[in-house]
Amino acid sequence: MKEYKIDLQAYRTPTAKVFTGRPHGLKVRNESKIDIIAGQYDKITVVIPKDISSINPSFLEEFLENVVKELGENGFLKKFSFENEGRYKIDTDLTEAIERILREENALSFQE
Amino acid sequence: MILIDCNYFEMCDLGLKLSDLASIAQVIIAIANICLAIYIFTYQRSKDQKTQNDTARLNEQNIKLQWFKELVIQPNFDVINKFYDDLNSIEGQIGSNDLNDEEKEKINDFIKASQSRLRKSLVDVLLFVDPQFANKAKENLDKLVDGITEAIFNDELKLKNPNTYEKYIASKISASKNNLIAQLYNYKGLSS
Repeated sequence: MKEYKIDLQAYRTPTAKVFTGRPHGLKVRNESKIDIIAGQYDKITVVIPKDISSINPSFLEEFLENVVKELGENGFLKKFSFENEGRYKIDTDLTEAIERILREENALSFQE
Repeated sequence: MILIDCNYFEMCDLGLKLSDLASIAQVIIAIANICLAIYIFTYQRSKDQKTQNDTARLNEQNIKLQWFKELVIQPNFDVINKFYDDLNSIEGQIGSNDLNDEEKEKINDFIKASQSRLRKSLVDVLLFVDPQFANKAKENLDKLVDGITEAIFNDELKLKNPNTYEKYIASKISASKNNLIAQLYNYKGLSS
């Protein structure tokens, strides 16, 4: 089984305790090459820096947009896991981001 | 012009009499009249068609706006106000300038939960009505919530200070509310 780790520490604004905003999410998506990596590995772990207090859905939505659309919710949750030794729990923000991505996709297919 | 300018003798040379010229002129005028009639008919028809299309478009817009008001805005009016009231209430939750990370996270979670409720109630419906419009509303809300998150976790900001709170949080809340109201008010029923 091929595994890969994306350490968010590498994409963190120095001293910031939060990841926010679509532009930052897009930047991390491009720099981490998550869309390509998702097709090459069986398991991907996203490592959250220990002292991070929030990863807002706006960031996650842009960061994970293509992989969630590609894999679907279940496929994404099977392949991706999040590792954090700190207090912050990503579950609620992740669920919100996934819902946003899928809802938008549904709405766009409804329009076509 | 050449024929009209030339004199009688020249016309005779060409084998044309004045009566012939009059006949030719009549034919030319008749052709011109026919062309003009065709032009006026075509022009009027396309103008009528355009007016008809504009009226149909306007009717469609009016119907959509009416549904938009009844199905999207009216049921969400309280939700929108509640969201901004929730955000304004965090002033009371900021008890001191030295909140610990846990206290900050609690406030931040409260804000994100409020945004999630508004997203489910308003933005998700807008997505099905007009995705472009929904994205503008979502950008507005994200910008606000992200701005507040960044302010809360910026240790250099003393948010208990009224001026700092006003600058980094309160002014952003009211700007976002005004922006959302303006977006809804200016919606024309069709994004393009």
